[in-house]
Amino acid sequence: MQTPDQKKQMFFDMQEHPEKYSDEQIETMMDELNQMPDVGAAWQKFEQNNCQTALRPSRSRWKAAAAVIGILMVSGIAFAAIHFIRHVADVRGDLRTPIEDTRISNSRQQTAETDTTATSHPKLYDNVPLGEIFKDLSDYYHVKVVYRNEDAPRLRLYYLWKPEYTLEKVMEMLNNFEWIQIQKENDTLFIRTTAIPAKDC
Amino acid sequence: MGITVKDVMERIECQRLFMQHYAKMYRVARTILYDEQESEDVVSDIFEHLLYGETILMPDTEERYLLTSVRNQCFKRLRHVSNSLQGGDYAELADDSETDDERLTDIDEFVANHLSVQEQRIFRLRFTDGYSYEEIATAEDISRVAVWKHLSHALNIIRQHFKE
Repeated sequence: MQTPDQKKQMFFDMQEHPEKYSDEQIETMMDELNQMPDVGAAWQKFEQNNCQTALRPSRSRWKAAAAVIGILMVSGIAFAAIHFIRHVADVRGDLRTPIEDTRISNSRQQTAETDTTATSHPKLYDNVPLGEIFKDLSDYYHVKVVYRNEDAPRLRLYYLWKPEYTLEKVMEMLNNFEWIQIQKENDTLFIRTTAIPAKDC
Repeated sequence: MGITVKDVMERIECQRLFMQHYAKMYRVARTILYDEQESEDVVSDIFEHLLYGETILMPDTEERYLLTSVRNQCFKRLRHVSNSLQGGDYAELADDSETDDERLTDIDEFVANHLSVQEQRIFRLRFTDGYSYEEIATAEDISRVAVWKHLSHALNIIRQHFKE
């Protein structure tokens, strides 16, 4: 019985040296490759991985996402939005690298298990304060960050960052949240936020 | 505020494309990568791109676009794997995507210059039109094994081209 790796190796070898294999072996390989996938199951999986709009770049999509997910105030707004936040453990980055996943189970537990040193992988900020997010971003893009209001660094956000994003792209994405305004002047980002009422969360 | 009608329509359209083309795309990916999970990933990545991106597909050419995307992504992936096996760095390779894209646009030209007329036809039937081995064998009036051999030869020299 061959392991999947051995079969894969045989597949490539069969392409490189078909003369080494009998017609029957080649036929068997083709039959295997011709197998129809379960499209319904594949769609369900895809939908599960993309079931909410938080990752969408366009303005309307981001605003819709913001309405569902909301920004959670540190003061302890119940984390009702948790039901809407998809499970992201298997969110895939372009290079199939693991995404640092941050999770909280309620508003009191504000741990953010992010790896702030890893910058070459996509990174998911799941209910993480803006202050932490922008600390990473300022390190990565070599910019300073100035908050225009004192609440700003404490507002929490759900955001998927990818290393291929330019700073301008990140600003564009985050500016699509109605309650965040980011302006860049030289090498400094000026951030202003407005609080959202608890009922929106 | 909430999910807009536009969002719903985009999702419905994405579902239609997915249901209609997934099977063919997946089989094309498997022809190049073999690995089921990797093939699934390649196809899902393409749909994710469509869902989140601005690409609008024309009904007449959507299948070709999707299958060509699969083919290109698979070759790209193979190149990365090959490089990483030789000690390359994934992060470095990511920066190399422009070079990759240039190579990918050259594939058709490369195929035209390096494959026999019959192989070019078979290559396109499989990777642009999504024909099965069986369908190609019937169209070309050759055995399935002969189809495999022609495709293998084509894939080998394209892979070689990518390694260089």
